[in-house]
Amino acid sequence: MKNAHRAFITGVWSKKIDTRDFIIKNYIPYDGDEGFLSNPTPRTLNLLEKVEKLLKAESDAGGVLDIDTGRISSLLSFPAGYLDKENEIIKGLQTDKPLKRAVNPFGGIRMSQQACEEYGYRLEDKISNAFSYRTTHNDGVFRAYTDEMKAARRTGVITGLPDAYGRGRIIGDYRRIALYGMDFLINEKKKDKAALGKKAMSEKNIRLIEDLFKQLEFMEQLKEMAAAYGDDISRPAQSAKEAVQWLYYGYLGAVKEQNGAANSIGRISAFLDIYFERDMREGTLDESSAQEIIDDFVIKLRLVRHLRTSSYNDLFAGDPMWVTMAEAGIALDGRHMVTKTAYRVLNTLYNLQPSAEPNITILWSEQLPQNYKNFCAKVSIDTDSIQYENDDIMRPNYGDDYAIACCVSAMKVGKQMQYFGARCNLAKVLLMAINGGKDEISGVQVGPKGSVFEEKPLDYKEVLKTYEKYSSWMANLYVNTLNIIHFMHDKYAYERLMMGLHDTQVERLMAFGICGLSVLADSLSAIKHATVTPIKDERGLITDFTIEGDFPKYGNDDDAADDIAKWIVEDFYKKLKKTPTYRNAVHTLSVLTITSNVVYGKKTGSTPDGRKKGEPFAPGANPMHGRDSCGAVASLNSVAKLDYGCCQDGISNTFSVTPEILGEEDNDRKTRLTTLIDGYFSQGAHHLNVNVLNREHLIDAMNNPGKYPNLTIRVSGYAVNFNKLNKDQQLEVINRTYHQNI
Amino acid sequence: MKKGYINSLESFATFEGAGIRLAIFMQGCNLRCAYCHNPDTWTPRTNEVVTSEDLLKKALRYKPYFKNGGGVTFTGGEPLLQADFLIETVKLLKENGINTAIDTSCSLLNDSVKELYSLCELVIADLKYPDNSRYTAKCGMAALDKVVESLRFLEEKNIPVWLRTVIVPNDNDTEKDILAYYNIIKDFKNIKKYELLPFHTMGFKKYTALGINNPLEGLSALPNERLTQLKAYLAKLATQHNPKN
Repeated sequence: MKNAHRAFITGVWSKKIDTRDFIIKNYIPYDGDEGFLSNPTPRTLNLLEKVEKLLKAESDAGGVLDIDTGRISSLLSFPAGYLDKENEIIKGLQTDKPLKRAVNPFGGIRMSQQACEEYGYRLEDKISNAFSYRTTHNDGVFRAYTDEMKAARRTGVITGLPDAYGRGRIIGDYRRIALYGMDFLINEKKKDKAALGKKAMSEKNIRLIEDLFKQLEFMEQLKEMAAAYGDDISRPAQSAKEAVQWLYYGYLGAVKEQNGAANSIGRISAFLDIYFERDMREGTLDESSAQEIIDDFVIKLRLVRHLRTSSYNDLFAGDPMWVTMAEAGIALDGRHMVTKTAYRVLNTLYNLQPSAEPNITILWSEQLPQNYKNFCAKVSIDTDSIQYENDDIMRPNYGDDYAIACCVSAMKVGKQMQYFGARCNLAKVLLMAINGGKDEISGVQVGPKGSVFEEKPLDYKEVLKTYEKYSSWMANLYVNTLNIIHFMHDKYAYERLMMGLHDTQVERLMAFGICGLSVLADSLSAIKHATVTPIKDERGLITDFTIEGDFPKYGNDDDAADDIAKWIVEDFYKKLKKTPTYRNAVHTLSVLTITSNVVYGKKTGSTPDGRKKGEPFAPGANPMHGRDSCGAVASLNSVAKLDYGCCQDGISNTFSVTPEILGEEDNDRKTRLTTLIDGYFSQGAHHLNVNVLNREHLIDAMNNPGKYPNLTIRVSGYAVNFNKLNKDQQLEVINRTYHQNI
Repeated sequence: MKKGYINSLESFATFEGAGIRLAIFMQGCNLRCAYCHNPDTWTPRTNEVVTSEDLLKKALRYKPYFKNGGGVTFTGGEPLLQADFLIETVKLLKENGINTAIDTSCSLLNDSVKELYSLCELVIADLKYPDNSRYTAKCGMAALDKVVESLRFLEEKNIPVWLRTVIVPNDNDTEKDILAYYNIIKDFKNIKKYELLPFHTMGFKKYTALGINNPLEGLSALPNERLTQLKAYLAKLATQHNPKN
C-alpha cells in the first residue's frame, strides 16, 4: 500500500476508508482552457473503427447483436472477454464478446424469457428450470401486492415500477478499489460484521449481518474476475492506468451482477486526475497517453448493455444505461473541482464522436472558472451530449462528494443509496378524482369510490378538494407499493457488490416521482380561470371537456399558473411523507419522466387543459409544448420556481434552442449559453438539458437515419442516440417547443 | 404615472443588442413599411396597457440573465412614439442597474426622443432606403432626412448605433443600392455595426390573420447566396474606404 500511495498527501483517508478526504487533500484545480488536450492516437482510432462496425452490426440486427441464452450474468459466469486483446488499454466486458448480452433473471424470469423471444432467441431450459425453484424479486413483489396496487399499476397511474427488473440508481464507490485495493476493503467489512455480531440480534441487525455476508462473497468474487484478466486488485492501484482499470473492474462487476435501470459510475474525474498528475510528475505519462487511457475507458463504458423487453424500451427509449459521470462542482473549502481530467472526459466527445453514454453531467456553479464554462458550452453546442445540474443548491445537502444516479438523483458516494420509485401520473389522479376513483380509459375502479362530477362548469374549489382527497390516497398507496418492492428487492436481488462498495451504515433515500406536472397545472389553471365543462361518454365517465375562455399557462413566468405547479409538487411531497418507508428511508421526490412522457400520455384521457386523449405529456418539469409563448427565459423562470427543497431527487428541464438564436459567432454563442445557465441556476433551479440544433435537422435525421449515425440529443435527464427512438418518440421530440426567433 | 401600450414580450431576444435581452414590443407605428413582419403592432393603443413599474417588475425577473451586456430592448412598432413613457421607464430600469437599447426607425426626432436616446446604451436603427422617394413609396413617409439627423445627434452624444437594412428582393438588392447606403453611413463614428438582413416571409401569416392587405404577397425570401454577395460587396467598400482595417 505504501508504494501505491507514494507522493500523496496523507490524511484521515490513509487510516480508514475516506475517498473524499483523499481527493480534497490531493487534487489540483485547473484554471486554464482546453488548449492542452490531445487528439485520439492512431491506436484509439483503430479501436474506434472496430467499435463503430460493431455498433452498426448491432443496429442492423434490430438493436441486439447477440444474446447468451445459456449463462446467467454474474461476476464469474463468463470467461474474460476482449474487444481487441492486443491493443486495448482498459480491459473487461460483461460477457465473452463485445455487445453480446447476458440474461439476468433475478428481477424476474419471465422478463428474461420474453426479451429473448422478442429478439428471436430462446432462453435455455436449464436456466428456466433453475429459476422455477427460485424466488425472484418479481415473484416476491407479486406475493405481497394488493389488488389495489395491481389496479394502479395496470391502469398506469403508477408506472415504470422496478418490480420486474433491477432498481438501479445505486452508485458503488468504485474509486475505493483503486485507492485501497480489495483486501483492505474486505478486511474493513469483516471488522464491521464482527462488531454487529456483538449487538442484540434484532431483525434489523440480523438483516444487516446477512447483507454483509452477501457483500463479502461478491467482493471476493471481484478479485477473481479481475484475476481472469491478469490483474491483482487485492492491492491498490500503482499508476493512473491501474487506477482507471481497478475502478472500471468495480463498475464492470456491478453491471454483471445487476441489470438496474441506471447504474452510474459516480464522480471520478478529480479522483483519477490525482493519479494522472502523479504519473506525469514522475515522467511516466504524457498528455496523449493520458487521453488515450480515458478514451479507452469511455469506449468500454459505451459498450455496456442489458437485455430489455420492448415494453421497457417504450418507457426508457434508446437503450440507455445511464452510465452517469458527474464532474466539476465546488469543494466545501471553496476551491472549484475542475481538473484536467474533467476536460479529458469532455474531450472524448470529440475524440470518439458524440454519444449518449456515459451520461456526462456537469455539476455547475456560478463559481466555476469561466474557461471551463466556455468549454462546456462549446461541447453542448457541438454535441448536445451533456447535461447541467446546479451544484450550488445540491452542495449544502450532499456536500462535495456526491454524484448523480440516473439523470438527476444526487447521493453521497458510498454513503447514501436510493430506493428507486419510478413515478406517479398526477394528471391521471385528477381525472380519477372527478370520475369517482375510476380509470377514465378502462373504466376500472382503482381509487376509493366517489361520485362522478356533473356535466356543468367545474368549480375550482370543489375540484381541488376532491383532487386532494385522491392525491392523499395515491401518496399512501404509492409509498406502500414501493415499500413492498424494495423489501423484496433487498431480499431477492440485493446489490451485493455495489453495497460492498458503500459504508456499512448507509443512509437510504426513497425516490418518488411525479409526471404530468405541466398538464395538471394547466388543467387546474383552466378550471380556475376559464370555464371548463366535462363531457361524459356512454359509460357515464368524463372523457372530454369543453373549454371557454383563456387561462394562464405554466411556462410564461406568470405566477397565476406557476404557483399552481409549485403547489402541486409541495403538496404531493407533504402527503408522501405521511406514510413511513421501508428501512426508514428518507422520502425524496423528482419531477422527471425520462422518455416515458410519451407512454404516460398514451395512457391518459383528455385533460381539462385542452390536451386530447393519448397526446404526450411534456417531459419532466417542462411546460407543455407550444404553450410557453414569452420565450425561453420566461419558460426557465417558471420551472425555476419549483422548490428543490421538496424535490431533492431532481427537477428535470430540457431546453432546445437553435444555434442561430444563440448568436452568429462562436464566442457569442458560448457566452450566451453560459449566461443563460448561470441566470437559471442563480434562481435555485436544478437541472438543464441543453440541445442546440434545428428542427429541420431532426426531421431530416428521422427520414434519413443513415446520414446521422451519431446524432445525440438530450431528452429528460439523459442523452440518447436519435436513431434509437421509435417514431412516436422522435415526433414528440420534434414537436417540442423550440426557442427560435421569428 | 404614465401609461404605455405594449404588444408582447420576448424573454430570450438575442438579435436586439448584446447578451440576453428582454425585448418589449411597443404598440403603434408611424410607418407602414411594405416588408414589415410585425403588422400587429401598427395600430396604436389596442393591446396591453402597462406602467413603468409594471415593466420594471417584469425586467427584474430577467435580471439574472443580463450579465455580459444583456438588458432590455424596446422595439415594436415604433418605441419613439411613446418616448415620454419610455423616458420614465428607462430611468427606472437604470436605477435598478438594467441597461436599455432602443430598436427604432429613427424617423422621429424631438426633445423627448433626444432625452430618451441619451438615456440608452445602444440604439439599433433602421436605414430602410437610401432615398426619400422609396421611403415615401414603401414606408409612407419621406424619413431619410430625419434618420440622418438622428444619426448625427447620436454621434454628437457618442451613443453607439447598430445600423440595419432589410434587403428585399427586386427592391433594394443591387450593388448600386448598397453603394448608396454605404455613402450615407461611411463617415459616422458611432456606427459599430452595419448589418444587411434578409427579407423573410415569416410575418406573412400575421397579415392573413389580421385581414390586412399584404403588399408583398407572393414574394419569396431573399436567397442566402444573394445576401452573401451583397455582404461581401459591403465589406469591400469598407476596406477601400478605410484600408487599415
